[in-house]
Amino acid sequence: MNMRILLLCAACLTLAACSGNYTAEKQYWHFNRAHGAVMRDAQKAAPEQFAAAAEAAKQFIAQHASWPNAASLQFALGAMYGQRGDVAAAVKEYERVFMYFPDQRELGARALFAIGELYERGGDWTKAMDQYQKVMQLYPQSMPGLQLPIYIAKHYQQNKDAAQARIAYDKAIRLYEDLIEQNPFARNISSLQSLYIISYANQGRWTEAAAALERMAAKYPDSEGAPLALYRVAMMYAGPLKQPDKALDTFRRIVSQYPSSKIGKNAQLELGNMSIMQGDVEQAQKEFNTAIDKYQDDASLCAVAQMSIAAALERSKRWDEALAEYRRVLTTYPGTMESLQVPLLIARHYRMANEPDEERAALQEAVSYFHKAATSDGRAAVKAAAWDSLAESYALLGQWNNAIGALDMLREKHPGDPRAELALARLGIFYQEGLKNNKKAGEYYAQFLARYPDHRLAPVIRDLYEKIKA
Amino acid sequence: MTGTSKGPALGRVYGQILSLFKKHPLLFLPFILAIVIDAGFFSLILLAPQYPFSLVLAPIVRAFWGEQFLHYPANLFLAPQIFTYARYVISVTFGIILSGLAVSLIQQAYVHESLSVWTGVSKAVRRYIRLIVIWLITFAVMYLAIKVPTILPVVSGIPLAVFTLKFLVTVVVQAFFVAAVPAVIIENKKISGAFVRAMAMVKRYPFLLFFSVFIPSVLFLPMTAIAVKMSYIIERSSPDALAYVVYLRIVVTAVVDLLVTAAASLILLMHREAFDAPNGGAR
Repeated sequence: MNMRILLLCAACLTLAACSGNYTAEKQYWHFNRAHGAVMRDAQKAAPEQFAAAAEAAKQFIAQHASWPNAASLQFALGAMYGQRGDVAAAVKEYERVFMYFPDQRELGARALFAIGELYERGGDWTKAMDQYQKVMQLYPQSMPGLQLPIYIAKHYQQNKDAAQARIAYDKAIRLYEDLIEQNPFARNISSLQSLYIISYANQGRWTEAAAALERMAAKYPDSEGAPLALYRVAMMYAGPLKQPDKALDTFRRIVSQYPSSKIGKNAQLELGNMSIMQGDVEQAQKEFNTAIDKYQDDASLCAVAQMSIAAALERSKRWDEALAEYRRVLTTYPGTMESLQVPLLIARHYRMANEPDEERAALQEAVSYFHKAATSDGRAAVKAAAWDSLAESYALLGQWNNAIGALDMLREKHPGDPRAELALARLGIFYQEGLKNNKKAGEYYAQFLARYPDHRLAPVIRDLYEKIKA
Repeated sequence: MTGTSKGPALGRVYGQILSLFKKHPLLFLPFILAIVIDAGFFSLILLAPQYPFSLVLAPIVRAFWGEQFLHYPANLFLAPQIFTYARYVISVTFGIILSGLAVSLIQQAYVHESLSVWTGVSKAVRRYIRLIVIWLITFAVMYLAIKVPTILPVVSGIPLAVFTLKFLVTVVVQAFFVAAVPAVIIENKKISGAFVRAMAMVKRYPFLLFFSVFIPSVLFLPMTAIAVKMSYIIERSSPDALAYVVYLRIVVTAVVDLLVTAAASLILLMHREAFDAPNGGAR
């Protein structure tokens, strides 16, 4: 009997421990509601508010240290003190990030970097450099660790120390070259290439950058980085090096060497875009049609190519032909995300051309197209986007109740889609701006802020809500 | 037998409900069980993000709605919607049996004054197919009927008018079918016979049946008012309020079910006593 009680107690304790993350999320929500404003803008907070928020954050972290986001909160605590100019307290809190949460290496690197930044802002470059060196030694593969060589070089550059800057950039170039050489098939090859290019570009050494990347592509032609390197070379020729012919040649090389890779397909599209830039619409059409013929199995890419043809014709004032091409996108690639842009593009053309009747007709056509797409058997993401666009079309027509209905459907049918998150905020905006119903708008804003307090648009919605309440 | 030889009237029906439930607290059993089952299922939905329930429930939530609904507070916003779906399953399984049991217990209390849960359960189980068909038909008619107010051009743009009309349509449809389940349990009617009996009762007691559904259903109105004000309630308390409101709704639903089921059963029993069978139709 005693054994059973013991087992029961053990099971209860296990359950309690396992539900810890959820409890932490719940308590964090309450913490965020009470102290979120101070956390977001610690500089403006009153001293007692700041002290209360900092204390609450410390208590929360102590209670829920095993919660995956506790380290982020610890980092935010350091940032709070940093914003208040309390360097000693900020350093102490930042240090706790890598001391107490050693498994979160990226955040540890950011904390160490932030300490360096605090010293740098205080004018102590030597102390800052010590911290930056530590980041590069302890976390060489982290994002701050990889970016720091350029950051340091840029510091010298901004302080007009050309010699030190050149040394630092050369050091950065060597580092990135070594890292790429060590593992040309690495998953972060794209980031490394970007940093490598930036190291040259910041000094205006585009030709050398292009040559170095071409060398890399030639040395490891089978790596994922090879077509990407060539693509970047082509973009350099098309952009800062101002050699469009070389750019075209390079794009053609990519298409012939890597025809089935994503970069190869994009290169084919770029051939079309280059022709547009050179004002040769016929050649652009030819290139885009080649993409359509060659990659028939990639509906999304074909839709982009078809839309590019239409856009090129529209830009060269051949609207009737452009419209025919736009319509072809709708009929040939109806289940694609790209096709959903077309009805509103057509309506926008008429708006720009100041043809209200045509615009209205286009929007009405858009409504029926989006409604069909939203209720079809297509991909969930496309259907969600269709409800979203349907709401937009109704809003442009001034049919606010229908627009609200479409957003309600989006939220009901696709609650997990990111557009459904935003739909709550948009409902508020529709009620406020369209129906002039501030009460209802306030309800939706409140709901949005309660559900997504950390959403990127939360500050904007908070402002709107505060204005309504005022 | 506790009834009188007069036909049913609203006052007498509610008086009878009061005296029967006071005398036989066992009559509360099906409704308490309904609350326990509903609350249990809802609690399970709330516990979906937490171990060990997450082992089974989290993949379902993730597949249909997405990862975000396994975290606080998003899970609380989704829980009532999932519970609505769960309630359909509960209704066609436990709900129907409990409804049959409730009618049977009321009949036993009215006729014999001694109650047997076993008799009630076995009656409901044996007549399960008939009960489920009645439930499905009622549900389908209700589903279609409440669409009408939303498409009526006169009211479709006025939310309060749509709501009022929906409420009345729900009451009327329920009043039409409310006697069907008692007809199956008390009179052992077949499906068509139960509907014929339900219609005959509506023809004979239209206002009585309407008000026997309408009066308890008024209890739902404060719940709707709470739902409308939910975002303000959350703002002033926390998203947990969503869960408390659902629990409250479960209790209110059980109370409404109790009053509607008991009233419908007693109307039929009183009618039979007064006009049909000499002993209240005990079978």
